[in-house]
Order: sequence, then structure tokens, then C-alpha cells
Amino acid sequence: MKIHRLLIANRGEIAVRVMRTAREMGIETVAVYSESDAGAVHVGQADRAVSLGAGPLRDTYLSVAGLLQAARAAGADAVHPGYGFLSENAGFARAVSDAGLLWVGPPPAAMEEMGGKLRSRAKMEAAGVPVVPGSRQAVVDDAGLAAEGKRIGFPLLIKASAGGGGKGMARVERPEDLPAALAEGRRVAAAAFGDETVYLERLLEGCRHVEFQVFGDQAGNAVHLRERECSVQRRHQKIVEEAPSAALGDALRAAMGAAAVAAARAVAYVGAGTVEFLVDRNGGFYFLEMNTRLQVEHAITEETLGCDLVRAQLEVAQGAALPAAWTDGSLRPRGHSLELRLYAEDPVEFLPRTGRILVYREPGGPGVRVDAGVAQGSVVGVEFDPLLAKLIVWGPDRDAAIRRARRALSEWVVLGVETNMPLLRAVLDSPEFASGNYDTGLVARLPPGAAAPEPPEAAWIAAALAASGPQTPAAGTAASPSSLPDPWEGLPGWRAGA
Amino acid sequence: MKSVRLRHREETREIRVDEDAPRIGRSPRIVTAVAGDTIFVWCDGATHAFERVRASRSASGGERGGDLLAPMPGRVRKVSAAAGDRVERGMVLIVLEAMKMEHAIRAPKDGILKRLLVKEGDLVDAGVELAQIG
Repeated sequence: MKIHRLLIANRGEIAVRVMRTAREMGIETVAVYSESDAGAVHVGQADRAVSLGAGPLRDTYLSVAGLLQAARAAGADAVHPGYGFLSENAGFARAVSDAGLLWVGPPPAAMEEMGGKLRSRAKMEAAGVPVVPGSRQAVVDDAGLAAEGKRIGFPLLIKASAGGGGKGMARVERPEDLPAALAEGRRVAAAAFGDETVYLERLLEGCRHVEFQVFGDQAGNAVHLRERECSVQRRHQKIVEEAPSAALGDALRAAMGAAAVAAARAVAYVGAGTVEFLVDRNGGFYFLEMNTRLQVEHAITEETLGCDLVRAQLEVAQGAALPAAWTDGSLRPRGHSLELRLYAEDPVEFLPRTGRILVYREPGGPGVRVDAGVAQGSVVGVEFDPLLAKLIVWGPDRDAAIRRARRALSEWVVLGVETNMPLLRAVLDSPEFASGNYDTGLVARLPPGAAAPEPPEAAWIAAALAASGPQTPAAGTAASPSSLPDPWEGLPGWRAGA
Repeated sequence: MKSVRLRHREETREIRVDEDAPRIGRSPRIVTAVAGDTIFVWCDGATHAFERVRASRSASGGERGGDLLAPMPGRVRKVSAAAGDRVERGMVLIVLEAMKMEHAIRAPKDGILKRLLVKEGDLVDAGVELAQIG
């Protein structure tokens, strides 16, 4: 089946990302949006845009009926789910197919096999893939729980079986803390995922988080497209990723790649997926989970392998075989790529921030790619994920890529909403990151104040000039971004001090 | 001569602006934007947020004595205490949710929950008062 018009059931940078490739392939694009998102960047990039109405997420971006109705209204013949939202919801995948539309994603059965963490862990053990030591079944009563905790050992993690993306996870240090942590874990899991099933997993410390991109086609071929190093995390969520990983030699890469392909084959996987592992200091590796969708950080694989994963998704969905270079062994990685995630949050405590982006200027130049879901004037609200944009850089080697990332970051102007940019800079400047020898504890080990730099004298003065300018708008209104492009220009002099 | 009081985190400075002084040229690596009393400054690759301190306004941010302020905008997901309750330092009183992330608001000290100003489901802005402990 050939795709003529593709509906993207998502928003933000990933919707824009998918539309770009679709346009290159001559496929028309359909955006969907909630009323609060009518002015969003992804809406302006599409050939058509359909409103999902107003209201909370369950009535808009998470409404299966609303999305199918939008697809019908726009005459779409295929649906790309992006990541997050309904991308790993097998029910949505089935509903799309049942409506006669092409689902650009894995078979629903594979999504279900991998969707429940307990189920996927059992499946992987059966396939001979090592898993993190932990529960084999959902722990329901406190007595069983205490016994499980004792068997697994402390500290351990309580995880939501239906969870993912670092949500619904809690660390438990001592056996006596377990009952309370379990009650809280069930509450959070029920609220976030609609399923209160939790399980226990040993907390492996000092590990790296390394994932493999996998891809399957409808003829049953499955390959891996090498790894992404994802150990730079805050709140168990990634903020900086790189490819290749400095932790992997050829032998370990081959072993983990084979395990990743085995995982994909075990569920007859089709399309783009990611198999996540923890790697310990001795080169031992353990299956964590499989993400049955395009990953946020897919772009660093694209940059180092010179491919377009969204194009491959769309082609495989239309029945094509995997690209020959992926299956005949001729694929060669080139250079080094980093991704830095720009979040609307404070860089020290990682609490969400909202507001309007008053000034926005993107970096550019050689080796720099920005996948952004915002622009100047965009409103950042509390209802959506805080990811605003991704900076992806490529360089001939790791040092060059880091220098390029630092340069690109220094060009990026985002004013009006606090972001984690100082934290991203602190990571790039950290000797531990520069060494390549780091683990998931890197962010916690950054020196105090590294992500909260003091403003230089010039910044105080510029702020005073801006504040004393004639056109300071009233609280709550949007300032004209161009009102004060340069505080020195056209303004009188200043004098600092008491 | 105009005078502006600005705060950046814990530090407050008074800066005088001389409207009659000669202009001093350009500084290309500085961009500013103003939203209400917040002044954002991008300076040579780093961003800083300043608060304008107006004489008529009291300080805000953090906790004022026994007042509990929202550290982030969001929706009140859970309220686990009632007005009149005795609370202990560190107890979770309120759970806020924003951008699919939960944040627990804990009692800053032992005392009685004198007032509870939000209920489950409320939307709050950062800095809004949530409760008072006496």
C-alpha cells in the first residue's frame, strides 16, 4: 500500500521531524492539534491541520476516536504516532488498522509483548537475553513483597510494569521503607499509566545506560543500527546522548547488538525500535526494556550512519525491505554525534517552567541540526512534555563534536521561559563527560553551582537598562520580542552601584 | 537619573541609569526580554533571569515563615492533609503535577496546618500560596 497523506498523531518537535521526511518523500502531511495548541509550530508545518477540540489530553492528543475522526476528515491514509502519547498503545494501533489506515509502527502484538515490563522481562529471559535481577511476577501483598525484597537485595527500585521514560520509578534503601514505597508506587503507577502493577528490580549503581537501535521489515529481517550512549540523565530521564558509546569495544558491541536483534526477533518486530540495556563496569549487560517506537534521540544514529530513520519507517510500513546497506554488512559509521535536549525546566531542581518564548534564535552552521517544536512567540504550558527542542551536532571525532556542541549552545538564544541550558553547558564542560568515562550518576556529581552560573556585570547592567526602558509591559502580557534587541543601542548611559 | 532594584536569586542590587549620559555603542552578544517584572538577559551564551524589585511589593519566592508557595506551575494532584491537622517537618502535604511530572510539597517545619488554600484539581502558578503552617 502506498501512502499519499499521512496524519501525525503528535505535536512538538517530533511532529515537525516526521513531516519533514514525509514532504521529501512526496507524502502530504496532516497535523492535529488541541485548541490551546492552535498556534503551535507543528500546525504551521503541515499541509493540512485538523483540530482535536479543547480540553485535557485524554480528549485531544490521547483520544483514539478523535484522531480517527481527524484522519477521516482530512482524507489521510496512514498514521505516524511519533513518540509518547499513543505511540506504544496497541489498542490505538489496532483501531488505526481497523479503520482501514496504514499504521506506521510495529505490529500491535509486538507492542503488547514489550509494553508490560514484567511480560517483556520474561520474554527476554526465554530468548536468552540477560535481564536486570528482579521480580518475575507482580508483587501483590506486603509479605510476598518483603520476601522478594530480601531475595533481590537493597537498594532496589520499584518500577511500574506499564511505565517507561523514567516515570513511576522509586528507589528504596531499606527493607522497612518498602511497604510505604510500594503504596506510593502503586498510586503513581495508577495515576500515570492506569495500571497499578509494580515490580522490584535490583538497583545497579555505577552503570551506563546504552541502547541499540533495531529495525525489522515485514519479510522477517531484523538488524541493529549500533548503539546510543544515554547515561547523562536527570530524574532517570535522558538529557544528553551520544553515538558511538565510549564504553563499547567491538566485542561488547557485537554481543549487545546480537542480544538486541534477538529481542526484536523474539516478538517478530517490524519497523523502528530501541532495546535499552544497563552496562556495568565489568562489561556485563542487562536488558531494561524495549521501546516500540521511534526514540527521541534517533537523530544521532541518523547523523553517524547517514540515514533517515523516519524514511525507513515509512518505507517499511509500505512493504519495502530494509535498505540493502543495513543487511549486507556494508554499513559504516562516520564520526561522532551528540544530542542535547532543551527542557523548559530550572537547571538545578529540574522543576517545570512555563511562559511565552519572547526571543528565540537557533544555532546553525556546519554539523549543527536543531529539531525544534517551538519558535519565537510559542506558549509553553503545563499540560505537555517540557521538551522544547533538540540540538544535534556531528563532528569527525568526539572532541570535535563536543567543541561544536559548545559553540552551537553559545549561539542559542531562548528568552522568556527558563530552560535547562546551563545544565547542558555544565555537562559539556565537565571533565568527567570529556573523559568519556561516566555513568548515570554524572549529573548528580557535577560541582555545586555548575548549572547556576552567576551573571556577569554586563548582564546586571543590561537588565537594569531593559527594566528602565519606556516599554516595560504589564505583568502577564507578552513583550514584543523586538522591543529591546540590544540594550546598548539607542539607550542612554548607565551607572552601576549604590 | 532613574534607579532600578534588581534581584538575581539571593542577591539584590540597585542600579542607577543616567538618561543624559552619552551612548556607548553596541554589544552584540547581549539580548534582553521583559515579561512583567522578570527581565531575561542572554549574555555571551548564558541566560540569566532577574526580578525587578518594586518598593511596594514584599519579597516572594520560597517560603515566607510558615507559608508554603508553589515551586512550579501545575495542577494539584493530591492533598494529603486538612486544615487543623498537626504536621511534622518533611511530611508530604500536597502533590503538584505538571508536564507529566509529580512534585511533593513537604511541611517545612513542625506545626499546625492553619490554612489550606488549594484543593485537588486546582491549577496554580509558580509562587502561589498553597498553605500556611503555624
